[in-house]
Amino acid sequence: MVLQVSGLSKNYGSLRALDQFSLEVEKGQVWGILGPNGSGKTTALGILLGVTLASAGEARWFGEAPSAKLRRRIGAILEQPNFYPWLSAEQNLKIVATLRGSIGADEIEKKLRTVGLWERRADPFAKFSLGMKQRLAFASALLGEPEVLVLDEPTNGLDAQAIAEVRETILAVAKEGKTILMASHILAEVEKICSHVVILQKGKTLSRGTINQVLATGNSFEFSATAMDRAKEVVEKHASFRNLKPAGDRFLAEFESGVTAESFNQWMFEQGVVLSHLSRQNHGLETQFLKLLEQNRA
Amino acid sequence: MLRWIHFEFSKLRYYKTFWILVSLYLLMVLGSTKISNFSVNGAQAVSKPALIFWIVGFVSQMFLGYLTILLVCNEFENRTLRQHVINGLGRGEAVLSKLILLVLLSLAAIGMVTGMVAVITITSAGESLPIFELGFQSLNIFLRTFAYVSMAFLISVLFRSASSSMAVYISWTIFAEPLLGWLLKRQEIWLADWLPTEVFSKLLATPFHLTPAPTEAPSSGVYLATLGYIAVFWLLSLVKLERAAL
Repeated sequence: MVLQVSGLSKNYGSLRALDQFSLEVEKGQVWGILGPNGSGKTTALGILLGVTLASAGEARWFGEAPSAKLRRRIGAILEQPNFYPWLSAEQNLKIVATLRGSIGADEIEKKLRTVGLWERRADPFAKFSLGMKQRLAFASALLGEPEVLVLDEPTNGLDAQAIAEVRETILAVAKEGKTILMASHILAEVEKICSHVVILQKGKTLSRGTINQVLATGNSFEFSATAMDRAKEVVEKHASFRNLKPAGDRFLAEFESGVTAESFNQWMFEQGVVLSHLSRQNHGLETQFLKLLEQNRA
Repeated sequence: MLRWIHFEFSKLRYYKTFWILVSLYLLMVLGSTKISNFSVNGAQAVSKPALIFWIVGFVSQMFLGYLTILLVCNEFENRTLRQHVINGLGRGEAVLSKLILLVLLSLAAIGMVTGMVAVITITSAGESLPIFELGFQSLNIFLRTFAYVSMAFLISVLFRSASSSMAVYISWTIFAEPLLGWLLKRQEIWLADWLPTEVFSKLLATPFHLTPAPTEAPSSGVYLATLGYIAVFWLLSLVKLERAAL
């Protein structure tokens, strides 16, 4: 287990910024942490990276209590890139290398080339654009071949081409078997990169699991039956029924949470309707994300 | 230890403000040697070495105090301390690396003055300062400077912003503590003599009473109180950093 988080909470006065956040991350998994502004994503990552103190709960990295030594095995960007403005890109990375230990000039060069900043290595950080700063932060996070990458909005401030490049780099890192935790607003990006996702709102966890599990939590079923009129009548009597729409020669029924494909099929059968087709509907991540937020707001 | 020295000096090497402050410090210290001996009614009132020590004591207190505030507040304002902690720097290590840096800077500043006074002592007849006296004065001025630096460090950790920390540092050392001391003295409360800067000032007697060099050593209580204050400043800084969100 790379990371085990249980019941992590953070209060700022009377405001509960993070509420009982739990997570188990295995080696090689790529987790997306989603949520609107103020949902607790950065608070959660800040606690995991040792810069924010938790009010309650526990996190363990690599099976051990968090420590500075363990953090050297993690590469991270949290919020905006933080470097000395008067130092060049290369000098800033040398300082990071001093902390991480046993990182040579060749590796610094390699990482600067990876993020496309080698030609600008002698320029002071203060003169960099936001996108260049973000790329330098990404190079810094990759320095020392960390086992885990923690990225908070890694494509923030980047143009479309740079976003695609960062995405490719993250995917390449993930293919090397590294574990990644990534908070992002760009849902399409998360859907492309992540194997797992956790959705937060106002500090509370709305959904957590593999991308497929989370996408399937919408409780919509597509079905057909030999007697469609009768099936329609029966579905509308279900205690958890919310909505029914025709979908070609089938119906799309939506229920409250808790209704499974098995229980729905069983209930229809008991009402005398035999289903000829039944499948759970997966929404796109964006649809599912917005839906979960809406449900929670309601 | 070498790792922390390398870590801290790699930040300073290209930091222009640091070099400007160091240059100003050097200019002021070198300028102090140009001041002629004070004389009252034709008689020498103060020796040149003692005067240099006295001037340097004040210059060090201000310059190294400001430098400390800049170096520490830079880490908060640029959020580099936060990034270092993320990258694997322990909060205790952050305090340790700054402690090493500030001890070295204080030693360098005082070492330079000691060397300068030693040269004056050797080359100028009639202004000699015994080598023991020179070492003793250097130790005192180092302790005094480092005590001020330690106070500046604590203020920076508490306030995090360079402008606020500078304001608090100047206000405390020049206005607030003397006022508090005066109020306490009026009430005849013993604490008046043991407030931080009051204690530190006792380490470096004013040269106008010294002919040709200080003869009266500060009491052991002054040393103990100074060391105590230095320890308290660093411990409080450590506790504050350990418990603070970055």
